[in-house]
Amino acid sequence: MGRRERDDAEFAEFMAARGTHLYRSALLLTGRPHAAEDLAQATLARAYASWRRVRAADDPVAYVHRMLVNTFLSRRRRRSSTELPVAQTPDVAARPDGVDHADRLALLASLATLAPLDRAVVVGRYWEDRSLHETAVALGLTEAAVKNRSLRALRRLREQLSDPVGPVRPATTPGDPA
Amino acid sequence: MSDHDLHERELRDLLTRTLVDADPPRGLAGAAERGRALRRRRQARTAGLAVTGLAAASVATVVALGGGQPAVRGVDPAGTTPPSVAPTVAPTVDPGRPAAGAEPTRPDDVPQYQWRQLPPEWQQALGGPTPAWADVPAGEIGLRLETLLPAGVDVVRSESLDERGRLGAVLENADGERGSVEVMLQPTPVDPPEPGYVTVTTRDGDEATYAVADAVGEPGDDDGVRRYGDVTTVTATAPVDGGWVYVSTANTVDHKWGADSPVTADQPLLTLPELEAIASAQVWRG
Repeated sequence: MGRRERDDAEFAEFMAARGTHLYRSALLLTGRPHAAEDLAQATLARAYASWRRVRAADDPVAYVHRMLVNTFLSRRRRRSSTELPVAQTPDVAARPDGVDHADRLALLASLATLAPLDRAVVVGRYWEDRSLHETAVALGLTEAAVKNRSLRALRRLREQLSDPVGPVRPATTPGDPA
Repeated sequence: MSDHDLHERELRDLLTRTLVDADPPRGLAGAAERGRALRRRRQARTAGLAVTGLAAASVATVVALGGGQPAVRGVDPAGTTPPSVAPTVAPTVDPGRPAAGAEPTRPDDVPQYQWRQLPPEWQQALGGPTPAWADVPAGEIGLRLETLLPAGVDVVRSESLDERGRLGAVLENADGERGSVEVMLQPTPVDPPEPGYVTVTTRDGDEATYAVADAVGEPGDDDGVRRYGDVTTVTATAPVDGGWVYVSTANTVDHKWGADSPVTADQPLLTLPELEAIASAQVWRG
């Protein structure tokens, strides 16, 4: 097996092991399944293109997660001037398989009310289970800033998720339904 | 357990529970093909840049001989230049704004720095000079801190001594208990230059590309006594003209304070009033 074939096989193994988790991280960041899929796929594509650097990293999983967050934040910056929020989104609480995903939608809607960087902090700390230090390094923040942002995000999420009239609906881009 | 801890745990549980069956609608199988295309584009751009680089080197030589400023560079569009962590000489700085209409492309592993973490000379060149009251070496912060500590509490180890505007240190009291303290002299954040990346050209011609992250949270967000399991933190901030002084302490000497940190004292070695007095002291205000 040549070097490139070996790289391809390793990447395929990595994607099989981590792809779904990466997609779920992307879902928390973007709030929308198709946007999340695109973000996860774009991240994995970049990981593929830089596979030797990924493999050489101390923690390839953390490295790729950092690429995911960087791609998300970078896209947010570029698109912030053109993205138009709309008031309503298609109701997808009940899926054809009958599974009620109201909790997931409520969570995603609440996360969407956070600033993108705060969302990245929440995903790093509470979904990826990264330490304060690891999250700070990944996002280029101080540990104190990560603490501040986590506390503020937790407060906000607590208010949103315990709101008796229901959480805020996520803002979406027209033409990109959930 | 504090409300905060409880909520962290609840949030982790909620995330796990609600995402357990969240799968990509169309799958991620296309990632490898996209990756191959990306690699081909990068290789093509690298070949183009090699030619451009030769031309740029000639220009830089001419500028240096003429005693002018080094060549101005934009963000490395292909991410092919490995960013250096810090220049060894005082750099001249290019804000790195791309030409109108150009889309900045982010290299994969550009180090991210918070605006205030950029070396002062870079901030100055980028339009946001660090005020003198905040541009203080960590060692000097330690010396000032020692004059403000209550009797029986001493600094036994200082960390982050290569930094400016921030000090992390280990404290010890008369009973031999230890804890840690962090002092930050935090200027009011300046808006980072758009689009959030800067490329610096050092005088010896090296380039480094940095991403500048958003500013930190509001001052005072974290003030007061907080508990994370057995770990207690106490934080106080006080305003300065053009920023604020942040002082925080914990009953652990762990680098990262969290519920899992090993405690080294029953309580932090400094109380909230003591921290407030330290944060408000004149020594930080020039």
